Amino acid sequence: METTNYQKWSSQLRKGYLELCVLTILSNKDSSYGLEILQLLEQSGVSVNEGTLYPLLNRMFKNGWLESHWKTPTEGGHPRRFYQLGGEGESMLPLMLETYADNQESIALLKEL
Amino acid sequence: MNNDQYISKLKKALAGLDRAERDEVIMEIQSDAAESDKDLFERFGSPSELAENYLEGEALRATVQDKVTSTGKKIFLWMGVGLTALIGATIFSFWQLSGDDFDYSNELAEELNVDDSDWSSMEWDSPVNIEVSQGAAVFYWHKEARIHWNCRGSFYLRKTQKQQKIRHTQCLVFLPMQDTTLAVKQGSIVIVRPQTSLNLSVEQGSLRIAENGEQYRYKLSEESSHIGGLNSQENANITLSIRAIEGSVEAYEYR
Repeated sequence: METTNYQKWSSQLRKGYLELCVLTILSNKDSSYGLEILQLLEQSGVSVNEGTLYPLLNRMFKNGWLESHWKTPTEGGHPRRFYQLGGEGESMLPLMLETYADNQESIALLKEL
Repeated sequence: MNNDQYISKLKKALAGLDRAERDEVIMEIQSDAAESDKDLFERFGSPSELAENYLEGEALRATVQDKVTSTGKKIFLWMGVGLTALIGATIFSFWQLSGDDFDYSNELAEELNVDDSDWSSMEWDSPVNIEVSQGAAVFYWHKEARIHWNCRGSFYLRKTQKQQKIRHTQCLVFLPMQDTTLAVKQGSIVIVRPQTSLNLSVEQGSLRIAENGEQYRYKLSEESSHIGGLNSQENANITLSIRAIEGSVEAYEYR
C-alpha cells in the first residue's frame, strides 16, 4: 500500500517536473527530438519512459509551450519530429524555474522548523 | 506483438484524436522505432496505455476549455477574482481605520526589539526590492547586513526572488544600507528615517515618511495624488525618489 501511495504522489510530482526539464533542455538547444530529449534526461538522472515522454511532448506542443517541425536526417532515414521552445514555453520557463527554486527553499526552511 | 501489429492497435486506440494529430503521433513513433532495436511494446508500454497517455491530455484540455468557454463559468471566475480583491481591500481598509499599533516614528519602541522571538532574520548584502500589496509595512534601517522582520501573517524572504512581496499582511522590517526599491500597491507603508537613497512607488496606496530630524531631497513625480508635509532639502545626502499614482504621500503622524 505504501509503495502504491508513494508511486501516486511521485507520478503527480513528476508531471510538472518533467515539463520543466523539457523546457530547460530546449532552452539550451535550437531544437531536439524525442529520443535525444530522452537521452539527455537520462544523462541528467531523470528516468522517464518513452510512453510518458512522447505524449508529454505532444501535450506541450498543443498548449503552445513547444513548436515542432519535421526534418529528415542528412544521412537518410525516417523523418524526425523536432521540438523547440514556443512563445508560451519561453515565457513560462523563467517563472517555473523561480517557483521550483522557491519550493526548494521552502522545504529547506520547513526542515529546520 | 510485432511493431506493425503494435502500430495497428495504437491507431485504433487513438481514435479519440483528430486525424492529423493521430497521423503525426504514429509517424513520430514509427520514426523513432527505427532507431532502437527494442520493440515498441517494451519502449512505450501497451498500445492502450500509450493511447491513454495521449488522450489524457486531450480530456484535460477539453474539460478546461469547457469551463473557460462557457459564459456561466466565466462569470463565476470573475466573481471569484472580484471577491478576493474585495477581501484584500477590506482587510487593508480596516487596518488603516484602526490606526497605528504604536508610534512608528519612535525608533526606541519596545515593539522594535529584534531579539524578540517574534522576529525573523536573514543575512542580506545585496540590493533590496520589496512590494507591499494589499498589506502594510513599516520600514526602518540599521547598519547590519541583515533584514529583520516581524509580520502578522506569512512572509518569507527568498534570495532567489528579484522582488520580495508583502501581501495581505502587516510587517515591521529593518533593512540594511543597500540600494532599496519599495513599491506599495493598494496598501500602506511608513518609512522611518531612511539611511539610504530610495526609489519609492505608490499606486493607489499611501506612503508616510517619518523624517525624525533627518534631511532628505525629494524627487517627486505624481499623478492624481495627494502630497503634503514634506520638506525637501537640496543639499541633503539622501534622495527619496517617489512616483505616486492615485496615492497619498505625506509626513508621518501617529494616529
